[in-house]
Amino acid sequence: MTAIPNTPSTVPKTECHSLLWSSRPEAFRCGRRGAIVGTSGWLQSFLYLPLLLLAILMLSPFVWMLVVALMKPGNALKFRFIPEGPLSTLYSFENFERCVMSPDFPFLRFFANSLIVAGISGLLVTLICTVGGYAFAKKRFLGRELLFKILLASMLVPGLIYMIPQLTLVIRLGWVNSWYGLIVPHLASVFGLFLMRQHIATIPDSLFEAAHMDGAGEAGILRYVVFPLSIPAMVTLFLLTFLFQWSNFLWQLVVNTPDSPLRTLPVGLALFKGQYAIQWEMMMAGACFSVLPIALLFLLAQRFFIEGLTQGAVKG
Amino acid sequence: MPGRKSDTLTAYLLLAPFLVLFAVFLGYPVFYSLALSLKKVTLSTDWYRVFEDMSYCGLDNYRRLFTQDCEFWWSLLLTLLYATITIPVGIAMSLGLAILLSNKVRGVSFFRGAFFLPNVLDPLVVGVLWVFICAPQYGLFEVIVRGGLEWLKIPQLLQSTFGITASGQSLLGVGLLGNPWTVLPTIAIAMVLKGAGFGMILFLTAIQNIPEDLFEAADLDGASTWDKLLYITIPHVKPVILFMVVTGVMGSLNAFTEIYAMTGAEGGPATQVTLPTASGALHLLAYAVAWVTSTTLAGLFVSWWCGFLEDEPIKARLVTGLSMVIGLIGAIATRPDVELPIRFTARAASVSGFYLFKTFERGDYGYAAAIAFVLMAIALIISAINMYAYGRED
Repeated sequence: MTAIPNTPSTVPKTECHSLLWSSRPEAFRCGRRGAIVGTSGWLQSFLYLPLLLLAILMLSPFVWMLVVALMKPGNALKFRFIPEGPLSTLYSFENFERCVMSPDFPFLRFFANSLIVAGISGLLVTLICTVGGYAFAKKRFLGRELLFKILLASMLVPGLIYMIPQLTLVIRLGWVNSWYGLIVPHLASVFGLFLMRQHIATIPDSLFEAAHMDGAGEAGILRYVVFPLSIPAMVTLFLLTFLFQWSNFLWQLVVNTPDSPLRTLPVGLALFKGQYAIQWEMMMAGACFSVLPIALLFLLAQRFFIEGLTQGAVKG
Repeated sequence: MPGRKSDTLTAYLLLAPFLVLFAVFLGYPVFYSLALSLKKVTLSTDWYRVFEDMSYCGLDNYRRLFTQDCEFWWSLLLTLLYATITIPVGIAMSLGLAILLSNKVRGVSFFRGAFFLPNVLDPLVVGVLWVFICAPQYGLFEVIVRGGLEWLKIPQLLQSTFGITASGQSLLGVGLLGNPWTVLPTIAIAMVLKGAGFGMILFLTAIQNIPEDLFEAADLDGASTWDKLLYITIPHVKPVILFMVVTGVMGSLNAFTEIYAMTGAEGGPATQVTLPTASGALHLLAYAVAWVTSTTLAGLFVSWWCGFLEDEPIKARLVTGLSMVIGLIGAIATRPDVELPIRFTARAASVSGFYLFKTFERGDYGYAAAIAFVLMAIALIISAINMYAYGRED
């Protein structure tokens, strides 16, 4: 076959931009392409084989983690696919119990700390970025373009450049081993601001004008127009911030001393790894504390995660 | 509402919380780091207030970085290797997943969720999981390989025919993460498996947005699956491919957590590295350029001969790209003997992001800041090239 007539060899730039932005729900509709085999016919069922194999390949580490976490101590090293002996002698919840009860590594405490840090960060970032994003989306103010460029450029700076100065700031403010030190330095999320700006820009101007006519001040506009209409984007931003803070290992490691009561889950897990390097069953049980809540959250709010991450990515 | 004077004040009031936090925790640190990169820790530095007590040294850190630090160049080389594995494999895998899912299959949402799930999990934890999977003797990978071999009765076969007993020994010696040749590819593949769902969603959206009539027209013309992939799907998802290349480069330059987790904070096994001197490197480069140029010309000739150049630009590009790769392989396979006088011990997975962390960890703060700025310059250059190629703002 020669080239199909009128097939564009490149997609126009503007089109690709809108292509990734608009008609978002398209991605969630069922396939209709028949790109590999026809749209009908029993050949379709052959697609399940590679799909299942790939799903197994990508998810097997996590299934393995669960299996090992449920093994009794010492069993991970002599694992056989065909179990030798009854399952009750091989598997138990002992590791989880030991993780929770451990006096040196109080996993419930780590878990609660992570939950507080990630939750409060998520709430504050969402609030700050929604208000800021509204200003960016709907106000024409002096220095707007310049500010936009500065913020954009700051996203290219590798994170480690910030770390030393942030640490000196935290030390000077006396925030070591405190909630402030864990939360405040990461509240200015440029990504979040852009995400909210992008969303709020799609709210029609007429709504704001109507609210203004009705005598609403800025607080009223925020309360009755911006917040109610950007709930999906706010949920997305909250979840993404939560996720980021949940796995923000390096920062949480450096702002806490090793005996701090505010150690979070990744830090606790890393210290735990140093102590129990060979006890893989315990390690995996500890890892479950980090993986399972996020996996559950993802299953409940899959759409928000996928939309938020890919939108943010395309926006850069 | 746009364009009113009073808007400026209101806007800054609304932005105030964000801007204050930004200025204090993101703006000021950049300048602080810049100042830090011009200073160094000396013997007389008071370690209890190290940041105030470093002495000014001008551009010494940068000079040292560019002229003396072999390990830095080694780390850049490893970053390049890491990028050349993660980017093509990642693109191929996510495109493959997207194409599979864009067919009419049941349970699309299940598969989409399953493929995307590893993306949201903590890279540190995923890294630890992979350490366990790749561990020698009892790791899942080896358990599977050994189980498979036993199932195929290969050990018995070896014993009965050659008298070799392999049982009880580790098949892979020190494990995939202990071997300097396999450590970085293993980390790269683990990260591709973790991240492929992300690219898949981008590709899926792009594929779903291709007008249906193009496929119908192609069907009427009797196009095969391969033709449709080559002439409809791939040209339409090109922006996503470009995007993934750029983010892949950035990701490789910033790769840290996965290396930290999977090499036990060490940067992989130690290896003896020998690098050519500057003149030797130039010699090798010239040799490689000669190879690649000649094979590329040959590829161009072949595509002209077959008529691809006029009618089928994609096939022409494929042929030319393939001949470039052949040229590169040829150059590597038949490389001339140049002196390799620079010898040092380095870590086999110490990519530049990790090297930066190591410098930071040993307290060489000024030097670490200088490395961070050089890496940022590389990132900026690459994104500038991207903007030029992509012709797009942002």
